[in-house]
Amino acid sequence: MKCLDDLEMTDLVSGNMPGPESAAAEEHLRDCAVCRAEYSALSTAARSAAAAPPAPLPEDFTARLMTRLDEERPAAGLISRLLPSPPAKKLAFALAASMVIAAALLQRHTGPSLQVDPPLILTDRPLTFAQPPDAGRSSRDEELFLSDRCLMVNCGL
Amino acid sequence: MDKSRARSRENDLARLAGTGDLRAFSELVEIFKDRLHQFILCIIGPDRETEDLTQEAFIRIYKALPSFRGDCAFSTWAYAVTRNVCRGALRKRGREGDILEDAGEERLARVPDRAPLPGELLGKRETAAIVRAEIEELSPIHRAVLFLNCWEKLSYEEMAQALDIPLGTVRSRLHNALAALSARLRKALPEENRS
Ligand SMILES: [Zn+2]
Repeated sequence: MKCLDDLEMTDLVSGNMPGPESAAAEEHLRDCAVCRAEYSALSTAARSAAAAPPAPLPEDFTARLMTRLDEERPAAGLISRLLPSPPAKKLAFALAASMVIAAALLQRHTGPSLQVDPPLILTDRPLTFAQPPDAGRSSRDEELFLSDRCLMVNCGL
Repeated sequence: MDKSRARSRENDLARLAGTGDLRAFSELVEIFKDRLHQFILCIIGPDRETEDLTQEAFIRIYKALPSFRGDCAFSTWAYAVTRNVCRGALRKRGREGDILEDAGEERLARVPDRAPLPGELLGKRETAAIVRAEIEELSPIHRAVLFLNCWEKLSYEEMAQALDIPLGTVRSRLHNALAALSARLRKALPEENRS
């Protein structure tokens, strides 16, 4: 076998060389001091990097994150808790969609006196006020915007 | 727990968390918080906002979990989401760009000026601190490939997905990163202390 090139050397050091090839490469290392020195240098670097563990975050990191998540998605969380299964979520989505349509029709009939909140994005994400549909928003499913707030009694659902 | 069992457990937790199970999500956060934070440190560099960015990344992950199909390891997917959070943060600071491309490769030739300490046997902790400091001096892409390959043990393919770079690029970046770290360690660490 001829000397290993940089990429083959990297494959060998990182354990990404297939078995038969790596056996041949190891045999070559026994006979070639140049490749052996290169292999030793790169392996030392790899072992050093593998021995440097990530620095730990503060212990309360997870608790703070979970509190933040809970605060960011109160209504969505409620929907999830009430209707945890995906088909049920689709039902919730359809229900919310019909509410928006009803609200829009209601607004048309009652004129500007009824203030309708800006629509909210209803996805599994937290509630977010939607951009107007022409603001460069793509038409992918998860970016459909629909209100999930009950406009009739403002109950938060 | 071996690697494949750990991964299967993580994917199970991710599927549960995707249905809104906050307890499963909190377990995932415990497993991944230091690792994602380290990945962010690799890309952004030492910065007081990295902890906030880690929170941001987990929130993004939580919101995107329903779209996680489980056809790759959760870790690979989580690193890809986190990479986008870093991109967004850098864009806000006007530092967007090719941090995960070729930028910083010229650092390969730059090695520390510190004199080595021949014959001096350093403690494990001191050695680790020097290694960490030398890794910090590398470019973002070099830090990232070293972390994902050496610590996280991701395959080339998984690294390509996580970093959104071609597989061939992963190999050459990893080679350059190992060579760069090796050159720095030769100068910074007495031979007796190299593992
Ligand atoms: Zn050779």
